[in-house]
Amino acid sequence: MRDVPLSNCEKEFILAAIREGKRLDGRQPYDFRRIKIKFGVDRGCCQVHLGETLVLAQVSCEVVSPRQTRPSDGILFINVELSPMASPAFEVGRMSDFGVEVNRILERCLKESRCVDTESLCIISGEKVWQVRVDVTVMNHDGNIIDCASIAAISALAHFRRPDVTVNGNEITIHPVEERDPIPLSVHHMPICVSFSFYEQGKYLLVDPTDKEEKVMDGRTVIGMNKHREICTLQVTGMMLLLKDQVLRCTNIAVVKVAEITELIHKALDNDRQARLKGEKYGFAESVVTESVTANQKPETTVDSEKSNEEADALNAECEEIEVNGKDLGIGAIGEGGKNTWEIEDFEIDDDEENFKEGEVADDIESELTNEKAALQTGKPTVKTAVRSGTTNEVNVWIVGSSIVYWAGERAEDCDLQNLGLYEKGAIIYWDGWRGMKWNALLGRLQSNLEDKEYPQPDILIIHLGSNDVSSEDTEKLIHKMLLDLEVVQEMFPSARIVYSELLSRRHWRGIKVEEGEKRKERINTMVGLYVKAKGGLIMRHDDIIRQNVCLFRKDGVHLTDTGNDIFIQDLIGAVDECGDLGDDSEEETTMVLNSKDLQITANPVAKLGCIHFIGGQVYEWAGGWEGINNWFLDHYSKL
Amino acid sequence: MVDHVNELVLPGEILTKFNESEKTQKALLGPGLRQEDGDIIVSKPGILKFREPNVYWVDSFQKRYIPTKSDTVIGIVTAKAGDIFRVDIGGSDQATLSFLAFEGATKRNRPDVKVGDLVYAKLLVANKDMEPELVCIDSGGKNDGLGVIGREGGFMINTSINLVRKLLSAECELFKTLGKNLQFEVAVGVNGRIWVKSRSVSQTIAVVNAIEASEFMTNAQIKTMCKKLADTLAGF
Repeated sequence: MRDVPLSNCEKEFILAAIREGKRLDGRQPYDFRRIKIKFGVDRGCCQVHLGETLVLAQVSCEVVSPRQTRPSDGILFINVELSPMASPAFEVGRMSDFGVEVNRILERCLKESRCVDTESLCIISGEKVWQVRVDVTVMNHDGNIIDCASIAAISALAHFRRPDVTVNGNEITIHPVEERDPIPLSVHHMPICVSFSFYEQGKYLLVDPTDKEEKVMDGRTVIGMNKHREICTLQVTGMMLLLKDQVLRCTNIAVVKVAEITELIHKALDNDRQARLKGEKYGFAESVVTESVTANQKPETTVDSEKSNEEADALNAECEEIEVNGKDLGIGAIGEGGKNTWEIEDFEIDDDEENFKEGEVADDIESELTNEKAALQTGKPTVKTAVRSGTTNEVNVWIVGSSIVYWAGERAEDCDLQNLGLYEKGAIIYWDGWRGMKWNALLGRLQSNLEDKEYPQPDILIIHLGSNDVSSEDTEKLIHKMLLDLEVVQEMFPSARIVYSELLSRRHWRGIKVEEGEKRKERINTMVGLYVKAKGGLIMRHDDIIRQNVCLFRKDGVHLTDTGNDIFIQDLIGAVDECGDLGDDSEEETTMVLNSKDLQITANPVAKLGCIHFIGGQVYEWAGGWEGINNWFLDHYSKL
Repeated sequence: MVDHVNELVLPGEILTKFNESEKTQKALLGPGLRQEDGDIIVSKPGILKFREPNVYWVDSFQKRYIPTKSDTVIGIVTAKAGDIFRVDIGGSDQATLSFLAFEGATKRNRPDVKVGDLVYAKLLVANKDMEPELVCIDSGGKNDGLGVIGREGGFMINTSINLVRKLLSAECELFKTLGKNLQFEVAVGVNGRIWVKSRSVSQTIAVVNAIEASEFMTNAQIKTMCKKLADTLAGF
């Protein structure tokens, strides 16, 4: 977009004023405008106002490989963006010459002066170092962007805190903010740029030019300096020649200005630190000026909504009553939807009967089919879940196990999920997790629950135990013991359905190598799982808790974080739901009628009469026995 | 509409309560009000104002200028293109100013206008479908204060439209009070641009700052400010 052009009249006036030593806002030629430094809530976020010019700087860091030429140095990366909101002259995306200039000056000022110690950013020499990135965005342009940006950048760098790192041989641990306090960057000195604009071939100079003054200048000098009188960068742009003593004059002025500005930055950093220490509020929101005519924030004013209330009432009175059907828990419907117009054919029943006859379906399946036909006619898949027993509405669920259960219980309590959210279905959960519990203690624990604590007989008994024995015991002996004990448990609670919760993966197995621990755990899960399933119980899997997912495990590599526990709780809820209200009638199985034209099968998981892998990877158990499968196959594939 | 006057109105509100006498009369709708199918709808947030006999409008805060016919504006000449000048008036499009639209200009006698000059002109054509057109003469051929300004000095500032309207209204005391103590020349363009020229650079700067500061001041405050200004200038 085009910027508003400067008229000749304005140009001449500004020059005339400068000749007299006057400036438009009443400043002296060597005065800076008012500087305001504000810090945000995030570490490393800093906003600087220089009069009307506004620049925002944000520091962030990440771990990267270092440069080949400097393997033990961290990287400092500076990026300056001239946002189009600052001035209509700035275009988005394309970096103009001026943008490149600002970028380079800041880079030279901050990187080449070594104000931030890059060696302290090294984690493992040659492999991992911190890359600190400063993103500077110009939000409003009223002259002197370079100075404002340099103040913002160095203040943000001083404000920033990076995460703490411990190195153990080749293993790096980056501690999250909640664990260890983040540490500040090592800032040796604060280089700040001071801009001078020149007029009439260097005869007059102004410090901190505004936008209009910049438009009429001949050239600009930028001096980057720190309070120790060390020049960090020096740049002259524009069409003019400077004399030696002019440059020296500028540097002398810069010394004074830089000292003042550094003082200001330290004060601002100090105020922010005090506010954070005392627990007071801090951040941008707290530093906004209220109670002013031009402030963006105003106290609340009441809006008179009487008129609109009357209108609303009138409109309501005109409307008819609308019926809302409560279709299901949490679902309401107004009216019925229209017919399906996607031109998918409705499920054809003829094909279905044909296929089934050829497969020589067992009788019990056929009788189910007649029931399902009604459902099939509408082309919907049906999932028949076990019906609730009419005798009691309560389902008692015991969850017995080791520390995993204990911590899951704690987490459930924190999230108000102590009953796993299954109160409506009549389930009552009894948490019984003991840290460090080993398998031997199971029977004793169950006995004590029954007698001493007087828990009611369980309808569902979830056992998560055995991980603590993996390292110490021989695997086969442990499996044998577990199977024997499970048999005893079933005798203790004949009406209960036993759910075996698979042992969790660990990032660290005490006393043995990780691969060995994982192997043993897998074997135990497989063997005990098969047994439990054969006896009519259920296996509770934890497929989502994989050891590669670091954020699921606490630093000991064994117990779960809140995220991990949430997944565990979801698995528990899934298991309890699946068991439903079965009692001891294990033949009331869940059946699924699938709707695919190729696979018209009834899957019967408990009738363990044979299973087959279908092309496509689905496993189904076929109740017609092996002959049934054979015949079905022959018929099906003879058509191909 | 009478009971809404001097109250805050928001865009989308329909003004319905008319006086009996007003229902048959014609009402003149100023900026911020629009008529649609017999309803009068507010299109800008602000205070509803009324002036005798039948003019209604909404006072809202605005910095962007939207060219309207017969406004007098200050423009900056950006280019010369054959027979016309391209002038920036702060709107979305640049306006055209024919070189014949000056007093005493003929095909041979071209006006002395350079790129970068300030012109005080009137909008001849201004609607959303066409480029705006400016002229520096009135219908009688007289320039009436229009034309190139700023040749001899002075300074121009850019302010909000509200400030300009306020300064141009009859009740505003700023120019009167300033004029008691200072000598200055001022040209106010309705596009938010104000050109000021005074005896010296410092006085010009003082007047410019006074104008900018008076945006949110009441008349009483303006009077005190001007007095303070005059005192300071005496020793400036």
